[in-house]
Amino acid sequence: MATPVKAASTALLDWHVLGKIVEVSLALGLGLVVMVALTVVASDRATRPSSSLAVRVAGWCATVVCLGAITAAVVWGILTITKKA
Amino acid sequence: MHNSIVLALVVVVALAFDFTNGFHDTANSVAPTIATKALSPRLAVALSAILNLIGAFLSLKIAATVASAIVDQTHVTLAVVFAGLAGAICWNLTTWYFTLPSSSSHALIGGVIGATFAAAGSGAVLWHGVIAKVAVPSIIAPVIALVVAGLATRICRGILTAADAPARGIGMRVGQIGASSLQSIAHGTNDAQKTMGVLTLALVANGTIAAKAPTPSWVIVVCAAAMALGTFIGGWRIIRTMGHGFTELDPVAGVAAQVSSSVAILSSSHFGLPLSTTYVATGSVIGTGVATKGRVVRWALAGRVVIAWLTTLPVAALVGAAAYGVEALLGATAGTVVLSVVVAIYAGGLFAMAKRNPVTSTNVNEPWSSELETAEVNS
Repeated sequence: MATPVKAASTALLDWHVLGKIVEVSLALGLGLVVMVALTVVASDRATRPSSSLAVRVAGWCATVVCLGAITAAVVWGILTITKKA
Repeated sequence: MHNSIVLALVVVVALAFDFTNGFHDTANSVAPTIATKALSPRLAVALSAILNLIGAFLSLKIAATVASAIVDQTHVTLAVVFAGLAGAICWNLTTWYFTLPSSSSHALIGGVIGATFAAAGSGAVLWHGVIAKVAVPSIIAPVIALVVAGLATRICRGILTAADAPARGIGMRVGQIGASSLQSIAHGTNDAQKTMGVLTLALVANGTIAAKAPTPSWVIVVCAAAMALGTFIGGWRIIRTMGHGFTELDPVAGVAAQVSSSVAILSSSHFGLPLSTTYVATGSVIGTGVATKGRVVRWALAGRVVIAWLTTLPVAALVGAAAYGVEALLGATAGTVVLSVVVAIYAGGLFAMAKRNPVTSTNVNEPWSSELETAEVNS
């Protein structure tokens, strides 16, 4: 016996897939924008002449981590493009 | 001989559609970049054109299924393909003239539905597919994009208060260019392949190639080139609407809109339920305006665009059906020749009328004229 969700999916749309799209769009969309913003803030702190050595080191580390995350997301994007069904 | 003439005209019209698709959809990936001056207008469309070209070659898994879930493929003939393309081109050019962003893919689907309906009746149209693959995603896409872009804008603004203005400027510029580039590649892959699929379908229908034959190299090259050329020409009228019409974009809003759009488009593609790039990009831009206190969002314009979206499928279908009717009346060869001339005249007329009120790379960033729109300010 079909569950209401399955029945609805058959009738109109695959709500499970749609839910996944919403989840990923929210998580990745917000995550990426946060990463871009954090990269800007971290690199700004790392390059400010008034920043202490510890702040500079932390700033550069955070910049590298954020850029790594952004690069990973871009690679995922390109893989998605090339592997699309 | 007759088949060769029809096939040749189908190829020409398919490439014309691909071209209109390129310049119609340029706005989706470059409008925020141009509006925020992250790149100059000409450089932005040139970069987008190159990336569209690269994207078209990135994945050669042909999207011949552009209409497979929408109509019964056994009824797709050269005449149907031609009529469908004619409907899509007319709609694309009409919405371009009226500066309205709308989905080229949905126009193509609408044209094919109309032509198939006229050729084989309603039983040949897979209505469930139309609802599940076109109608419902059309409603959902801009809503998802609006919410994600709105939240992203708020969060990004909050975080960036901790950074100096020069650092913010450089960071947001780089972020926008990156997101815009990713969108351009994705567009080249998705949309150029739709035309490749249509052309392959036409070649199979004509018996030029076998049903399971790989897509000829020349099809891939000409489709990629037509899309890139269309992108390079730049649909400035729509770029202006996307970049300045709905709301004014600043660099933070530009990044939020473009990153949100890229992620929504790629994730939907990844999960096999592609959302319209145009609807996602429009929703994202409006979302940034909604999330920014005091920012003008021109809901009257948004309403007109929604009406255009709602009418895309039926109008393209009506034109597609009418085009098929002409072909049926005059015969395939004479019908396609006459229709080609009619479409060319219609296109020429719209281009001539557009020259009376031209939007080009030189005036695309001029302030939106408030007398044309009813502006509402968010409280």
